[in-house]
Amino acid sequence: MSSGPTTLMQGTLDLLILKSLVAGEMHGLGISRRIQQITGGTFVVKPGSLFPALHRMEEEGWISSFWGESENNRRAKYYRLSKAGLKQLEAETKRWGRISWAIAQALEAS
Amino acid sequence: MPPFVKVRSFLRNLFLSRREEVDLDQEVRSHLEMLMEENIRAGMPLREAQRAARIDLGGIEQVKEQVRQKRIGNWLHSVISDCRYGVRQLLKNPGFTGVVVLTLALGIGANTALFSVVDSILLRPLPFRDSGQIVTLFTMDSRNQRNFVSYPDYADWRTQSREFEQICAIVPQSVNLTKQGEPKRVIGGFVSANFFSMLGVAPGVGRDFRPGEDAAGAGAVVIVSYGLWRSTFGGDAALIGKTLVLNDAPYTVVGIMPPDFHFPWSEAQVWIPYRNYPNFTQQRDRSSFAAIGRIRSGVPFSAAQAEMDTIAARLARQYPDTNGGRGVKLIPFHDIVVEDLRPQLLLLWSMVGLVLLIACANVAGLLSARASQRTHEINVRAAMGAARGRLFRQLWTEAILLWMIGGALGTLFAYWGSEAFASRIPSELASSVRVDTTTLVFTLGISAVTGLVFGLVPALGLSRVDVAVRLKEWGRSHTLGGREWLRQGLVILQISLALVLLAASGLLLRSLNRVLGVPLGFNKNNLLTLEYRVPRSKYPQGFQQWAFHRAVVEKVRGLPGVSSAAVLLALPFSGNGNVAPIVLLDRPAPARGQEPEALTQLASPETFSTLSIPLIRGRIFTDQDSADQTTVAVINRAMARRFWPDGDPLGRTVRLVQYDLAATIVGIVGDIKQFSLEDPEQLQIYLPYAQRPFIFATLIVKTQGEPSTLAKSVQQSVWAVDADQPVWKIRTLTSLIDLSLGPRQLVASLLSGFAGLVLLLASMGIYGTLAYVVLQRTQEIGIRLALGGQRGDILTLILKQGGRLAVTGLAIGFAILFAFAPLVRSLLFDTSARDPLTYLAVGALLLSAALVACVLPARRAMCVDPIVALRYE
Repeated sequence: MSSGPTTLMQGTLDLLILKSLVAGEMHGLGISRRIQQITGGTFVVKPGSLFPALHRMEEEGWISSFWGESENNRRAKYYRLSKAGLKQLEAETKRWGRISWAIAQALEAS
Repeated sequence: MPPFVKVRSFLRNLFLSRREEVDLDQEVRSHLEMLMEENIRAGMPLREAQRAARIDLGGIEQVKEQVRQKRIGNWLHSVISDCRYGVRQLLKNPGFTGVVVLTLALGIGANTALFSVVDSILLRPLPFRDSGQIVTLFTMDSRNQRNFVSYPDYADWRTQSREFEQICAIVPQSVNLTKQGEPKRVIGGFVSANFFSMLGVAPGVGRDFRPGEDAAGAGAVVIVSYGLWRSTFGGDAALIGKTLVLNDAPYTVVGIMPPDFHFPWSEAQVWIPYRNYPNFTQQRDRSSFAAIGRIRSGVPFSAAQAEMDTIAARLARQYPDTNGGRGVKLIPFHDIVVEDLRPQLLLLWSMVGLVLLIACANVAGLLSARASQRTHEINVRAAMGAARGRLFRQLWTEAILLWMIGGALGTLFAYWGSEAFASRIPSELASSVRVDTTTLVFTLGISAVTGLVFGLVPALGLSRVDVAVRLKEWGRSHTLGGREWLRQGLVILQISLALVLLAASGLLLRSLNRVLGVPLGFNKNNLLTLEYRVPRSKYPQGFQQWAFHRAVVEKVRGLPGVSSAAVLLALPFSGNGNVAPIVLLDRPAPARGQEPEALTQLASPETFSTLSIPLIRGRIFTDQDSADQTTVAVINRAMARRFWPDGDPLGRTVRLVQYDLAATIVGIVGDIKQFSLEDPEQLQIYLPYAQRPFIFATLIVKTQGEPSTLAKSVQQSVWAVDADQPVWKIRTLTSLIDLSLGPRQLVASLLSGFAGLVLLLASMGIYGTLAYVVLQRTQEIGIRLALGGQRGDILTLILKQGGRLAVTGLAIGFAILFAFAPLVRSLLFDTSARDPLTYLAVGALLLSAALVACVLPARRAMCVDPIVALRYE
């Protein structure tokens, strides 16, 4: 995924996950809630898409995981951003900026 | 960095999959629990919170499967797990697995072996440059019979034709090789000097014949075969330039052919220019040469034929006496070489195609029957989140596993099979037999496609119906009607094809039986034979030649263990036989070229008693029938009946056109078979060697014990008469007759083998289908029994279903037979292609095999316990 085209939705989900992890390490539910929060409730990520994305991104080396304790003392799997993930976030952010600008331009044109 | 991470993930996924799985499971579960807690905190009651969390998550197994599919190396991982699962499935059903694997192996193996043989013999070009351009040129006489060509005609063809690059001539005849250890008889080929260059080959050592070396008065040269060079001259590198004594004349060796040179018509060991052929003649009516030509590249076959037609017509005008009514016919050389085997091989080939078809139908039927049993399993797995593609792959994996095992075994069978076959056909053809890789790949491919298509049947319905609906339906109905007719159709197909194959082999067996029952006309037992040709240079006069034969017979007769000895020109079943025109002087002579022909034999007085040919009337030869007496002849019963059905042939005169000789008929003897058991009735005439001497003779020795043990002493007796006289073809008459039956027996036994195989396959097909039907209808049967149905009725029910399949299959099979049976007519002997007895027998055989295959499942149905059956689902 580090190079080549990605579908818009997949790219978006990756971007949102990376972005939400900037705030610090988080478990799956935390990430899901965080995305909901930072997008003002526009995106609700279901586990069916969240977990496959997390595992894929971990295999890409953008995030890493470890087992920790949740706020309610429950064992939970936490994810944290890696160096490569941070770089990916920057790249994705730039790309997204270009895309959204281009789309906005396109929509404004009469 | 990322690649390294990926590799690590890949390896982890592959090798630490169990830990990964536990990890994933815990992660998803903890997620579910956290969701639930969230809901409780939001004030939901516990049950409500649990339900909402489940809905939110969307199913633990589904989520896990989605994650798995996204993993790196997922494909490999799932392939391995598919294989593992597949192997487990196959091991759980050893009966099914065994039957499918065996069916595949036999189908692939038999098909490849036979097809390879057919391909190597029939389809593969001859080992000569542009062999498609090589044709044989036959003279066609006024009776439209193929004949060889005379030397003057050949010479005219050669000079007048333009469409041919070259035309060469060959006549095979064995040659005495002396002054080289024991006197030997070697196979000779008398050829025109352009023979090798026409074929596009050249000696490996030394040189080819030079143009003109076949002309009169040219130096005597010889080219020897690689085999002779190795065996007789010990591979002596200095053989070139040395002198060999052939037919008592010196020849200079100029070349040695390479080891891979092989001419299909003659395994000649020495090649000699045709001027040296002992019977070389300039007479236009003596056709002794086979003409083989190479059509110029780019010239169509028809143009070459048209040109030869013109030349033949011109010669007919020029020489009406000899060439009137004669034509020329071109036949591709390759066709001539395989001519005799073609019908048998084509029959075998189509039979093998049928076997492959039946095998595939069988595999398809078995796979689809099993697939139906697995519909529920597939549905459950689909409901548990298995993607459709994933299910396809699982089913494919199993089909491929089956195919790989079957294919490996089949390949093994193919190699064994073609070796076994090659060892039983004429050696000059066997050398080219090897397993054809293309064929192997082809049959493997066909069977793979069958496996893949029919292995997929259970997954086919998946997209059509909602999984939940199908799950609910399970229990009530496995009835997926569409597949039912497919399966039954496959069984019907198998039965009908099996009938065709069984009938074909039945007809051939019947023919074989008929052939074996044909009377030989002589007693073949305890006969040792050998052939020799005395050199004309040493025995120029007829009386000398006869004296030699006489002396040999006398010597051999005195040997211990010998009851009698005789000489005969052409030994029955040796392939020799001089069929020549005759003229009867007691009736108007027919037009030239229209004379009746008779097998003309030379014999000694003892010939008839030695072969136990019965005397019917008159007398046989005596020693008084010498050269200075009236020439006498003994004819066979067929000739007497044909020409003198009411009168008396004794005392009549018959003129032998070939010898320009008239002979008085003094006796009538029984008919004998000369060329094969399948010979039609033939006119036969015997003349005494004493009155019509010849250099060639076959010595026939009747022994008291096993004839082959006397081979050495008989040979010594010949050498006692002349130490330089080569003898050859020392063999027993029984071995010759067995040899002549070889091809027929081989084809019949191969075909019977296939027929047995097919009977087995078809029975398995019926059994498999009915067993499945019983399984399917267990519940129904249970209800019937519970409602008071009789067990006998249940048996009838199942037998009826099987019987219907069998009868339909038989009906279709008989229809095919009636349409195509005449195609095998050429292979039959004294048997109708629509022989009702054979048809009846194979029909009954197949029907009873089908019923046996029905009985097993029917008995199982009968033994159904209603209680168990109703609870079964």
